[in-house]
Amino acid sequence: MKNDYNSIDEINTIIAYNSAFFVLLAIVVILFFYFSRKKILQKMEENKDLELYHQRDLVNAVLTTQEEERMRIAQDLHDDISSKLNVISLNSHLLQNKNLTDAEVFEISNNIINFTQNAIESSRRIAHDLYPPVLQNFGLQAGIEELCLDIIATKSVNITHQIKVDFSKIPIEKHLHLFRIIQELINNSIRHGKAKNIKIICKNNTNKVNFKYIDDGIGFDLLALQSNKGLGMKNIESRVNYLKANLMIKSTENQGIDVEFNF
Amino acid sequence: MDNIYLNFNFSLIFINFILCSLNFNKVGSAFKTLCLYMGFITFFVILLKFSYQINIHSFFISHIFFFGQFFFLSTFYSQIMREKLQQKFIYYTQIIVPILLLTQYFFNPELLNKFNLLEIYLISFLIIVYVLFHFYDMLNVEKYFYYNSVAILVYQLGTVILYSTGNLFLEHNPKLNLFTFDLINILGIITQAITFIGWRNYYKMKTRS
Repeated sequence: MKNDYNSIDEINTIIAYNSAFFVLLAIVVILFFYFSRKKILQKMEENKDLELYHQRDLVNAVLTTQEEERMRIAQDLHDDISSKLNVISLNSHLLQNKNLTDAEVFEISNNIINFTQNAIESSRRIAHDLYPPVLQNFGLQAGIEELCLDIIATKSVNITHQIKVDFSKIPIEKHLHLFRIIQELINNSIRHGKAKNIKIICKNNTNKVNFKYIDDGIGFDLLALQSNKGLGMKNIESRVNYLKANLMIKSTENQGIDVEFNF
Repeated sequence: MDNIYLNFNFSLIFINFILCSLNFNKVGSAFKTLCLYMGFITFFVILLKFSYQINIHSFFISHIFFFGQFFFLSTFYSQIMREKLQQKFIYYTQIIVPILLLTQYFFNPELLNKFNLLEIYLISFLIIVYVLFHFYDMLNVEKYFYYNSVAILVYQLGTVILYSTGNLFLEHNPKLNLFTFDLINILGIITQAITFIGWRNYYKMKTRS
């Protein structure tokens, strides 16, 4: 009988401990849920702020690039075309002089012809820089090939390319973005990367185009890049965003870079 | 003692102990504590088997197990906690719990000869709280010691009731007690299997990196 009472006491104690344990556990789980939710929401807000900041940064980069480009065009127009047109204008006024000999008229006419040709050449170069005509006339593939040949001709770097994509199936507005990305990457490889060899690969990957750019330059520290991106890199990033692609950059110091995205 | 579940559980514990000992000198302090904890469990199971072989059924061993488990796991979690408040909580519980239990044993030494419910529930509860602290810390970072924590949580939640009923079955029906003992070992096997997956992932990650 005494043993039974002991057992009942023991069972009651176990029940009391169990209920206390599970009530406390429930409180802990609720607190865990409450604080976890708070932490996740806070993180989401931080990410949103970071994204906004990043977008603002990209817009700034685009605006800065645009302003720099405008300045460059203004300078080209002023230094090249305006100055030449001034000379043409002066020479044309000289032609109005009635006391000129035939030899002088010939010389002034020659000057006018030469400066006009120079001005035409300058305006063509400016137009070419703004939008390469090869892109408009022969498409992106020819544009990339011409760009590579132009760079190879300077003998600063060797470029190989494998383009196995029919660009005519890709919206035309994407062509210029890809072209500018390649231009900027090559520019970076030569100026900062001191690369000797560059490889450009473009191939179809299911429904997308896979773009790969590899160089053997000095590379860079990716962590340092995250905190201090140059204008060129931001420009690339914003153009990749336009292509609705995810930019993947792999690089370590003295190992070159490997840039890849699918669009 | 020849029990298939205990033997299998022991084999897994031993494998896990060997696996974590392999890189003992190359790992951080938290990992070292976890290795020592595995070593402690290995030692405990050997002690348990030995005590059964020489026919000494001392509850004192179980108290060593609970205290040791609490000491190693609280040290481990205090080493990996990221927030000061969590570390403080573990630090204070590490002091208060032994004092509280030793005071209880001092005034009621009879408890040494049976399962102490306060000891079982308090230690299990606190270890579960530490695990939840750790899960909270891992919410927005890459998982670390995840499988170990899952294993600890499963074991603590699963065994708390089994240990608490120990006294009851010991008094009335030792056969039922054997059933509880098997269940504890089955839970131990599950725990060790999860821990094993944890080590496997750890070494895989290490080889990849």
